[in-house]
This record gives sequence, C-alpha cells and structure tokens, in this order.
Amino acid sequence: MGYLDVIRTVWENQDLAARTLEHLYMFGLAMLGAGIIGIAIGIIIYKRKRSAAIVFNLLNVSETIPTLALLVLLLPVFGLGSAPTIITSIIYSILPVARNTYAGLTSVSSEHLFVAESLGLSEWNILTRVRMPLALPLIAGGLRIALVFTMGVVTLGGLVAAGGLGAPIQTGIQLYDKGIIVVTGLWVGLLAVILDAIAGIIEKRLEVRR
Amino acid sequence: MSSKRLFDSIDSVNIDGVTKRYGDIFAVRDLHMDIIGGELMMLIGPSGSGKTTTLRMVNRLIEPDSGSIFINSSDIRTYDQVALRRNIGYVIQQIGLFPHLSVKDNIGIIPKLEGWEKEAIVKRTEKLLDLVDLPHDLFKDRYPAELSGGQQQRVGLARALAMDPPLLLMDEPFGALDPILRIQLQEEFAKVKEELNKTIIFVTHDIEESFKLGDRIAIMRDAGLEQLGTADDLVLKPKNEFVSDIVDATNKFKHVNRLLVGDLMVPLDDKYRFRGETKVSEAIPKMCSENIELAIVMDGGSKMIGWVRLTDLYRSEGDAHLEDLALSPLTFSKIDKLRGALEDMKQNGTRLAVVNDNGNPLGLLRTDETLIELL
Repeated sequence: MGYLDVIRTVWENQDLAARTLEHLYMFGLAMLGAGIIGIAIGIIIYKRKRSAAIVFNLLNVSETIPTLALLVLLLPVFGLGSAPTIITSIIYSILPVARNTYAGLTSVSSEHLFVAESLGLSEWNILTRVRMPLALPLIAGGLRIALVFTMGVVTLGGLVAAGGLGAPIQTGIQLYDKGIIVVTGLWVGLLAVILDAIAGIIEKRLEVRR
Repeated sequence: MSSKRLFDSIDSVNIDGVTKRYGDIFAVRDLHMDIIGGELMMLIGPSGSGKTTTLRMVNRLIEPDSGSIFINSSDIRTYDQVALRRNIGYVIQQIGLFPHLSVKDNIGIIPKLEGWEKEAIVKRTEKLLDLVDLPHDLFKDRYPAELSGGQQQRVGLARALAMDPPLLLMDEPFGALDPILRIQLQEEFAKVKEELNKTIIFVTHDIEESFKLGDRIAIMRDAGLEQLGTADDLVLKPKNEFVSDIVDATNKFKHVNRLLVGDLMVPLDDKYRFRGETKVSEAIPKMCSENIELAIVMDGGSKMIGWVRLTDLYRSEGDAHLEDLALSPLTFSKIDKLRGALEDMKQNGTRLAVVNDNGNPLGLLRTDETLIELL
C-alpha cells in the first residue's frame, strides 16, 4: 500500500473532511471569543492603568494551568463536547491578545497623540482614529499567537468528545493505528501552518503603512 | 458631530496678564500681548523664553494658572476645547502626519469628523494640496512614508487649513528642514499667506525668518516679553542690549561690501548632483528620499548642465531625461563681489543661484529679504 492509499483510506474512513469543518468551526468561535474579549480587556486596562498589573497577573496564572487540567476542570460545569474546549481555548488566548492590545495602545508615539489633540480630536476620536489603527499591527501579532494556542487546544478537545480533528487522533491512539495518527497529525500541523501564514501576510500588510 | 464655527474672522487676540508655572519655574509670567486681526505675529527668543507655552495657551493645549486670553473679546475658556481647536489651525515642526492615513485622509480627518459630505471633503483636499504646491492627482493617495520632509510639512500646513480656520498657530514649522529647502518653503508660505489673509502666530528661533515673514515681532526672554514691534522698530530702536544682540545677528550683512560670493555660499552636497541621462521616474523617488527639491544636472564629467525643481518633474514625462528639462540658473564665481551678485539676483527676481568654477558647481548662494533690504 503506497502513502497515497494510506492517506485516502484514513481520509475516507475517519471522515476527515467533516472533522476538519468541525475543527475550523470550534477554532473560529474560539478565536472570535478570544479576539473580542482580549481586545476589550486590553482597552479597559489601558483606560485604567492601575488595574493592568492585577489583570495581567490573573491572566498569567490562568496561563500556567496545564491545558489538560483546565479542560477537565471545566467538564463538571459545561459537560462533554465542544463547549469546554472552546472556553479553554479562549481562556488561553486572552492573554496574548490583551497584552498586545495594551502594548499597542500605549506604544503610539506621543507626537501623534499631541497632534491629534491639537487638531481638535476628542478623546474618543483619538482612541478610534489614531490609537487603535496605529496599534493594529501589534494587535494582529497577538491574534497570531492566539491562533497557534487555539489550534493546539482545539485538537486536545478530542479527549473530551469535542469532535474536530482531535477525535480521529484519539481513535488512532486507542487502536494504536499509526496511519490515522500520522495522517491526521500532519494534516492538523499543515492547517496550523497555512492559517499562521495567512495571518502573517495580514500582519505584514498592516505594518507596511507604518 | 459638528462643532459650530466660533469666529469667521479675527479682530484681535488679547493675551491679558497670563501666567503659567511648572513647580517653581515660570514658563510664562504676567504676559500681555495684543495681536491685531490679519497680522502675522512672530514670537522669537531663546529656548525656555515661553514662546511655545504662549502659543499652546491660545488653543488651550495648556491652561494658564492666571490671566485670560480673549479672541474677538471673548474669553477662550467659554468655548469647548475641541471646538476651539477645530477653529484654530496648528502646525508643528515634527509635523506628525498620521502614518496609517493617506495624504487626503490626513487632510480630511477633521472635516470627516465634522460630518462633511464626501465630495466636499475631496474638493477641499484637492484645493489645499494645489495651494501648497503639491499637484493633488499625484499626492492625494500617497502615504506619509512616501513623502520627503518638505512635502510632509506642506501636507501638515494643508491639514491645518482644512477647516479654513481664521487663526493659525505655527511652532517652528520649517525648523527641521535643510536650509535651502527652508528658504523655498518660507517663500511659498509668504505667497500662501497673502492668498489666505489669516491671522497667524508664528514661533521661531530664526531672526531672518521673523524679518522675512513677520508683520510684527515679539522678542521674548525669561517667560516674558522683552520688546514688540516691526522689524524697523527693533533694528532702529532696540530697547536694550538683549534685543540689539538678537537683531544684530543680521548686522554682519552690513559689511557686505567686503564680502565675496564664496564667503556666503552653501557648499553643494553630492546629493544634489544628478547625471543628465537620469530619467524623471528615477529622479523623483531619489529626491524624495534625500529630502531635496532641487537637483543640479551634471554632464558625464564635472560640468553643470542646469538645474531642475522637483515640482516641475512631477509635471514631466517619466522617461524624459533631466538634461532635456534642465533650466539655466543664474551663476556666479566664488570671487565675485557678494554685493553685485545679490543685486543681480534681486533684478532677476531669484533667491537662489549657483556658484560655479569653470562650469563645475561648487555651491549655492541663497538670499532673502533681510539681506536685500539691508543693502
């Protein structure tokens, strides 16, 4: 049996096309959640700088809990399936997004802020028209880190019956079927690389203008 | 959100006993100054004399500790800060164009926030770009990073004029520019000023600039006003040694009879030299990145063919060669008498000439109003 045959067999038997869609669905929801919450937290702690240290410490602590442990800890609350997986992904990804949003907002040069003020932009205008756009490349960088985290956690979701590409990997481990493990594993890896490359291109584009 | 027009024209700006201190140090101390509508008031003095603080109190970027400022007899504290600033144009040395916005969006940022119609913004932007000598079709879609320093400063001026403010504040707008470019921008600004008919408060540390552009000049020292008057007042009746020292910077020109062209020429940097076969499309980006707006066109060797200005290049075909576009400048030799050279330049209506040695360009000779007036 050639490599191509192995790939085709695994792809068909494990229904990898459908699993990939499930995977991307969970990945998309988790990224959306992490993006919205992370950027919101970044803006809030930028507005209330005194809270920054506390918030970052909390987020850092959440980051130190092993993924597997967090996943299992959430089981009693959310049950089996995709919910604990998505929530775990979000918890892990908030930190890089929030940290980069905060860093981006504070890194805008005082010269541009001064000019914005002197032209007659209100504080809100300055946030939306100057700070946010100038922080965008850094925020995109945070989202890119979150993307890699999320890809990993969603794959682990196979352990708690979340579906997605983690499921066939678990099957492969249970059956000790190297074909399934290798093919699915490589496919997840390839997906992550592709998504990261797309994110990288977007990030570059945002930076060009600076 | 649109803020109303607070004043259509300026009758007066009165600074009435204004004091601003930082800790124990007075930035401005009991300053009284009356600016007449339509004039260009120059504030000049050493750093720390309070000129920038004074300027920033006029649009409430800094609030005075005591005293008041009145525009058309209304205390500016009665106006909303944001509305006030949208009625007062402001240009700074660092320019501060927003890097994420194109030239047209930089200029149109306040009109957009004011809720102008899209077409009105486009029209206004194009008009302003043409006013500051940047052909709008070539520049409106560029980003600040693609512009030379001089071009950025022109866009900065256009942005300050976007709302057609009757009052303009300028804080050393040409201070960071190459001397030759500065002369050119000052000249352009003098022309623009005539067209605009605005009241302008202008901070500088360059006495020649204040003589050239200012209607009246306020000499400041140690957080206060030393003397205020026209250039003639200050030169002929300086109140004290400090004032005469500042004004005397120009006195060296009184010895003009003994000076030679070589004494006052600016040596020609290599970045100004371009070979005649250079194409316009190659020359433009190079001049932009070098921050120059004038190129000396050379033949294969060390001889000058003529010169070209950046603005003229924008209007030429991209594959034309510089040698075909070069114009002949007025030229002098290093050992020509300065006085005669300046008179020639005055007669020709030019303020820039090339100093040559057998066709080999050595430097540039610049002049200005002060110099000519003192002859």
